Amino acid sequence: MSNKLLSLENLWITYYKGNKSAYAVRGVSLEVNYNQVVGIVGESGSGKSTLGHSIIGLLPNNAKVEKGKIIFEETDLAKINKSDFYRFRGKRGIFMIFQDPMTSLNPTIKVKEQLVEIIKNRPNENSVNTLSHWFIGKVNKSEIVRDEKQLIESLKKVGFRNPDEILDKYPHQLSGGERQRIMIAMAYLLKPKLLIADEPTTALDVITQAQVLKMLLELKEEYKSSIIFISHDITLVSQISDKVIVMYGGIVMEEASSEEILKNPLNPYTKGLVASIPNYFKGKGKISSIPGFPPNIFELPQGCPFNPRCNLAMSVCKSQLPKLKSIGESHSVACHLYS
Amino acid sequence: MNLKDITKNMNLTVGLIIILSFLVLTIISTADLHILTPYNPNQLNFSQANLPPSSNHVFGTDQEGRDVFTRSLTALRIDFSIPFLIVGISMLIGTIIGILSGYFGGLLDEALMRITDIFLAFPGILLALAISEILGSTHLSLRLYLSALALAIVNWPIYARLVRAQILQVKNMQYITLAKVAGLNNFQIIKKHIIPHLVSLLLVYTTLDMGTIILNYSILAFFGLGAPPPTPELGRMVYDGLSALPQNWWSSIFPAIIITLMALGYSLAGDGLRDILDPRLGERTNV
Amino acid sequence: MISYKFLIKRAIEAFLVIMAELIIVFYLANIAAPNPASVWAGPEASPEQIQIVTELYHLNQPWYIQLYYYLGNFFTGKWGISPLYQTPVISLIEEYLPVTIELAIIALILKIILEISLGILSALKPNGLLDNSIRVVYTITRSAPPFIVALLLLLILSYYFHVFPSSYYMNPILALHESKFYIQIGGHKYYFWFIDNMPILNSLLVGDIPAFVSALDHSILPALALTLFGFGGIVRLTRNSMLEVLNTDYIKTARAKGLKERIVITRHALRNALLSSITLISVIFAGLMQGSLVVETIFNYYGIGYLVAESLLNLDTPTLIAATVVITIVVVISNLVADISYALLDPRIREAL
Repeated sequence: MSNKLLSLENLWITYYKGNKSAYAVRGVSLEVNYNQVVGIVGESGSGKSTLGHSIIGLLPNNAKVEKGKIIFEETDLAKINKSDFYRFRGKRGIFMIFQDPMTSLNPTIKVKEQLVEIIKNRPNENSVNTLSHWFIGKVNKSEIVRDEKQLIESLKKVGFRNPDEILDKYPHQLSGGERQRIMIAMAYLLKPKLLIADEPTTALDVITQAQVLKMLLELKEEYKSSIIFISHDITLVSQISDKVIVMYGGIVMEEASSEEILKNPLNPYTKGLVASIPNYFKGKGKISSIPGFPPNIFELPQGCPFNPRCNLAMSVCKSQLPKLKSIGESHSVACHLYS
Repeated sequence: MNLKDITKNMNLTVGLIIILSFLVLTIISTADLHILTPYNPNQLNFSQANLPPSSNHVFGTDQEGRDVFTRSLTALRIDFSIPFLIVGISMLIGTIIGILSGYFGGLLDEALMRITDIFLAFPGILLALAISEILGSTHLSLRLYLSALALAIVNWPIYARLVRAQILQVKNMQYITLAKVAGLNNFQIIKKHIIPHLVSLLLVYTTLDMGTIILNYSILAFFGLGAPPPTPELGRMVYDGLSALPQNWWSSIFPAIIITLMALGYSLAGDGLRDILDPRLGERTNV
Repeated sequence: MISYKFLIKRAIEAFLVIMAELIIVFYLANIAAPNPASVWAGPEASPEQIQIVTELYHLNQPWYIQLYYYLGNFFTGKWGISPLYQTPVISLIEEYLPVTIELAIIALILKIILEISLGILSALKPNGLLDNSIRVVYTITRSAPPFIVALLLLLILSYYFHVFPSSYYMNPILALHESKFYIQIGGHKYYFWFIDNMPILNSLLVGDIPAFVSALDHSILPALALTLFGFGGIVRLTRNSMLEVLNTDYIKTARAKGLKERIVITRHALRNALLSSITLISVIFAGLMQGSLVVETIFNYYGIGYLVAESLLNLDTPTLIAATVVITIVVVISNLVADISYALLDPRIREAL
């Protein structure tokens, strides 16, 4: 059996706005193995978030996978329709946590019920929905006692010292950090094979950020889950990932192990990213950044999307899309400088 | 907003065509009714009563032998123009109150908003009916205008709210802009920012409101609170025709259809305007 | 639970609205009118009657004394005598109001079931066939005056196809010897004036089945006319509310958990979308009470709408005033109930109170 959990092949995803359309993801291919953390780094508009959503089939209504394959354990998810996709999500499948913890939980349902839902939703069990059940939100007492132990366990794992109290609360009574930890608790309950984390720490303070990273790594260790960690922060991503993929303007610019990407970035964009990491130990460091702004997908330049901001741009860069080429072992780069 | 925008928008085009057609009909009807029809709207003619629609009488005749089509055309003189008066007055009152409230803020704002809230809580038409009736029973000849006034009184709060919200929005921006540009922007310039947006907002809303007012006025007329008989009015014609049911359905139904068409014209035009000027303007509940 | 402060604040606001209306009407009828006595006595009153009325309503005294009596009378139920019906206004209201309440409740239930379900279905396939058809229909019904739906129903279903009766709330013969509902506690019979005057409910409770059927039969067309008046507004609001909910992050989370779409919709989306629809109920109810004016007139259905219409057409001001204020009270109370229910059901607001 192959080691590959997920394999994206030449994926193209389109966004529609009014009667215009544009590609948010252009010909991206990548692989994720079992029990591996892959980081995807990019600025806004790079297509990283769209990519993440497409894997779990949660693209918005105005977006669509135009071409390519999303092979998850031998099934091409790109061909699965909306109503059947649930089979691949949640328990032992794919799960996703989102950027804004403030809006990720249903405000009218208690935490307990939102977690119990996961346990009760076994593959062949149809939950009974009585009118009062879904309208007022009470769960049958006898069902709770059985499952509560698991809930409390998962809450303890994400660092809650008073899990009983938390279970009884509504999301708006919790802070952003606490809500994000509940999302991770959900991941602990689901034990997914693949967890997609879309900027999970962007809205959190640094300390909570570190806690979240630690929990995600524990998830990987304990349940052998794979994680796709999406962020704009290359340092953060490198801390947790086995390999890092840099995206810009809808294409993969570079792919390497986390050490390699920080020590030896090849693509000028990656170099810019790494260089803009503020380094306090360099003495009176300058804060450098990449001049210019990331493009709007409806106004992508011809050729390499980075060419307007690249100080090494050549004439071929303005006309042809660079292709990903393997350089060292497990290091590939898409740049005309290397082809 | 130019001619091309207008024609591209289906809603606005159709709406404007309807409104303009009614305008033309009203003008002709006021100037010389006989261009359009040979009959006299008020002449009783019992031998011709209750005739169904035919080539002689496009909309048939009512219980008293009057040609429904002619009466409808005559009714347009009132039914088409009075709503302008009503919407005009309520917009004026509402805008002034809204500006005062938003601009001065503080206690005045509180007081005015409380009053507006109370007015909004009244069941609108009902209060207008009551006011019209009480006032009108004593001044019969002025009844038409008193009813118009009553409708305007019930209608202004929404304008006040709308305008005030706009003023508040700009007022908040004003402080920031002033702070940044340190007095280079004077109030005149900022008013130049408020007024265009306010104008488009009001344009959209008054157009939509015209539709509602036409309906509300027709209800008032239905209950006899409009112009005194025998002046024809669409709402009143519907009521008069009730006692002739079921044999004579045309004397009630056609006026009702005309009312619907008029209101439709305005609501389509209003929707169209809204799409062009500001798609973000929310929908108003029109229950 | 909800704090008393909230309840009291809302109750005071409601009270203020009623007071404001009373004062406006008072001003118009007693002060602004050039001849208040004829306003209260009716246009056909004889000079003696006018004299009696002037004494009765203290019309020749300063305005503050008039106001004092006016308000006092109002709160004690002395609403005057109707010149048209020659009976105390309060008994008229007692007789006619419950009929409309019953009809309005039926129409409310129909409207909610019909429009909210259509709204939700439209949201599940935005810009689909259902969504667009309703949008088109709504453009027309939004511009249609209340009488047209009633008229069309009357003509088609009653006169041409004879499916339903065309007027009154019950076959008059059956109504004559209809008994009144009561509860017997100890040795006393307790009558409920409210139920007495609700044709459908009363006949059901009393067990008079022919009357019950007749009442039901007579109420279908008016109820339909009320329901269809302004059809589409609630559909749109529900649809938009549902769409908003469907685009939230927490629905994404629910789907990400692996829940079947059906469960995502019923357990997560519906709950939140319907919550905001509760506030619509008071809006709908207010509209229904006003719509009853026209519908009851066309169908000769003896409810308070009919009463208002008659008093308008015959210049019966005492009845008009009382009926208007009563309807306002009903509307205001339904607003209050809707606000409180919404506060109870939304956990975020429950906390804040």
